Amino acid sequence: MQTTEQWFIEQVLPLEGELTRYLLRVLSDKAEMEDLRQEVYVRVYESGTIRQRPATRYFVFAVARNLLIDRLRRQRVVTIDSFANLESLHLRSDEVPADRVLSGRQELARLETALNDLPPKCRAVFGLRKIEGLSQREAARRLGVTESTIEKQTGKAMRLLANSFLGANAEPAPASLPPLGARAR
Amino acid sequence: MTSASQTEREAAEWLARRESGTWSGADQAALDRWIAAATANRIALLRLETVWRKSDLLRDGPEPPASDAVDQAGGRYRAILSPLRRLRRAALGAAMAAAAVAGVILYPSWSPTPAEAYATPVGGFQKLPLADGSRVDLNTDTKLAVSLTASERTIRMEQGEAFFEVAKDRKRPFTVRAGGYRVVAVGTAFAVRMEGEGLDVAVTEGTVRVVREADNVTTLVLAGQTAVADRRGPVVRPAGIDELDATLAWRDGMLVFSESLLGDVVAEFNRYNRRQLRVEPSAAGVRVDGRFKATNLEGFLRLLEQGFGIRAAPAGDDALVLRRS
Repeated sequence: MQTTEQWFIEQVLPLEGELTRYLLRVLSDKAEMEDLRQEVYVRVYESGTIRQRPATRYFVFAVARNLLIDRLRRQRVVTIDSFANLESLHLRSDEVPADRVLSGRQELARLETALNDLPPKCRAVFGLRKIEGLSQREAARRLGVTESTIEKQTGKAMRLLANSFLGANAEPAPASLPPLGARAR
Repeated sequence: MTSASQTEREAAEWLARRESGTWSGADQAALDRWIAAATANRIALLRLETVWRKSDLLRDGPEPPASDAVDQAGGRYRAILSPLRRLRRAALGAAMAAAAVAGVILYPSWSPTPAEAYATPVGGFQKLPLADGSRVDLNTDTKLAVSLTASERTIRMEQGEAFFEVAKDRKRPFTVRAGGYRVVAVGTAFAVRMEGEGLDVAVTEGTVRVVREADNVTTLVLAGQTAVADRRGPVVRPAGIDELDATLAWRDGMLVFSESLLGDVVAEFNRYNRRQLRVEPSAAGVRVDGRFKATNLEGFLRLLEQGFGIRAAPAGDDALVLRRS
């Protein structure tokens, strides 16, 4: 039996790049988008319903769309622009590509890109800890820094790798509509 | 709700501390409390942990590092490549180039009618769309016959290896008969490889039943599992994503090895190529990692030479013997 965790890892997380671009059609602020993405994940996870592959995608994007609409409704002044963008949130079947599972080779290529994008210190720590398999203490000695620096850089590497690998840093897709300029507050 | 970026930072701190080497039961209890406090926490952790685990793929060789792996001045990470790593790196590059060139594999647009036989030559590969919407990928040197009737869908496999993506149809079970077994699926994806007396079944989606023809003893194989079935009966065990990916890499025309003995590697290549390789004892202990195009024997031999100093010498018609020079 598949657990909710496994389902989330295998079917929901791979949608992150697409989901990010989707949310950015309406929310131009990165932090705001990240908060909403977190909310989408929480709702999807808490629904506790494990779905099969194509259904998962529709479910995730339906939750995202509803949350976006809620958010726009709560704003006191809503610009015409944001409504126009909302229209573009209808999921047409032709823009929902078939589910793809990355092959090991594609995953490796993505990881390599993510690794190369790490800042130098972070990459050095990642290399020693993960690739060379050194302990935190050994890595600290090798680099002549404290263990707490290694720990901090490790945490940073985790965040940067995850965001890069999952496509969380996606730029907004060239939408059919211009991006939202002045947003209602 | 805590902001997403704050939650992510906290999750990273927890994970990094857990990896640090000093982690007590009390730490675990504190982490468990943090996770239980909000679903957002659990998700942030899952997200980071998933990619962190995946990044193990980047660890490309088992040997300990040579010294001076880090350029102190720039703090830059430089891998000191051992022969094995060089081989793997080169193989990766070659594999990607090959994949780029190979591009799309053409397949016939017709659908087979019932009880038709299909075969691939050595080194061949064929995508076979069936009339019921199922799809079959035939690997090298494979023979099978397809029969679709109103009540059942049956594939008789005579030899080789194939991957099946089965269209859902509860009224018509999809059965692969091979090596004294029936492998029965409803809507699912799995691979069957015939080898010697028995067969290997690898399931990537759904569930299949493996039934021994002789006594109808049935074993269930779930997604993410493989079963090795011989006369004594099937043995089921879990297979990691990496392993399944390696098992099915032939669908991209690739072979994937992870610390495999040269003898086993050569046996795999021999399935795909007319030119047969043999390994001399001097080279038998070599272990190979990497991804290779199954039909690119020249590339593989070049890598063996560069990485391990192993040369291929002609030995009769269409045969080469590998020895360490």
